[in-house]
Amino acid sequence: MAEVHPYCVCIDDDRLSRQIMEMMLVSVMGYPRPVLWENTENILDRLASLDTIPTLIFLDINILPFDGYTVTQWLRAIPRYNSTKIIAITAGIKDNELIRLRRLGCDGLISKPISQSTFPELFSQILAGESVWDLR
Amino acid sequence: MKERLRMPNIQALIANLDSTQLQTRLDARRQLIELSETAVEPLIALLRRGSGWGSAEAANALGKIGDPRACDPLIHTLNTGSMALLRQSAAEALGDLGDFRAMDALLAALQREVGLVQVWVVHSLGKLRDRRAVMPLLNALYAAEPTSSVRYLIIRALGDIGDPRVLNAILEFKEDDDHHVRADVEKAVAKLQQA
Repeated sequence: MAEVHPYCVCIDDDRLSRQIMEMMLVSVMGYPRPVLWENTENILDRLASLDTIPTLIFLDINILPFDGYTVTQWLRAIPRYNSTKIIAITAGIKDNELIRLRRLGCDGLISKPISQSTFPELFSQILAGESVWDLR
Repeated sequence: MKERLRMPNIQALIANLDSTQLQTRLDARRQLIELSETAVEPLIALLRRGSGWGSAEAANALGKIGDPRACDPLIHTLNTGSMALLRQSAAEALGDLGDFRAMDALLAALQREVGLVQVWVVHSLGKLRDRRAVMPLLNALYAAEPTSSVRYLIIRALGDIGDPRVLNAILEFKEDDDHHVRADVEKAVAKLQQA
């Protein structure tokens, strides 16, 4: 049986972060190239227009025009994305922001800068259904 | 009857670091880190090969084990590694190792590298907290593209190094367009004012 690769979307306004994410997913983990977006404009329409429901959405929590908290809340209200993992990516987070992310239905958090030494294991855990909170 | 403890086959684990299967590499790396000092020389040998997944995984494992014998081989890899992912692993591992002998190599890489490798060079310079990095980091900050994420990482590293002389320079970025930069300026200023 052919291995099914996860279909990933990465939404981050930082070009370098998007490049690094793509490198991790494609070069390190051997997955197909992710969908890379630099903002959340018309985000629900754009996600709905994808051929495949994303397995996983990496989302910068401070992105514009709609931040990660808002987008997470919207997605969790749409049954189509019930199985989609939403992982926040951030350079830094406060305790109250973390609590808010969990309450809104975020499945985890990965800290920037993303590292080859930790990302594959975190990603595997996420795919296995674990919540991952990589706080540094 | 006593159970005989099974010692893992180190050479088999080393070979598995080159596997095309990600999980096999991760499992092997985890076990080699647990073996700690016993695994260091075989890992250094793999690192010296200088190419392929195995070398990058060896760098990662050596950083986590933290044995000072890995410092010079990791410096060599940072300087000469053929793949960016390999040089990134070496840069990260040198930060984990915390050995000040890596400073010159990291400072040279700060000027030479871009992208993923530079990001981790900056991160490791912040971890080492050696004030020799302050002026090179400031120069890199001013030279960075205005939209590059390396800027907030440099500001973060300067905050971690804790040299209060850079406070005014960092404050120049207080109203930066990038929210990451503004957030890290706030944190760095708080640290520097306590220094």
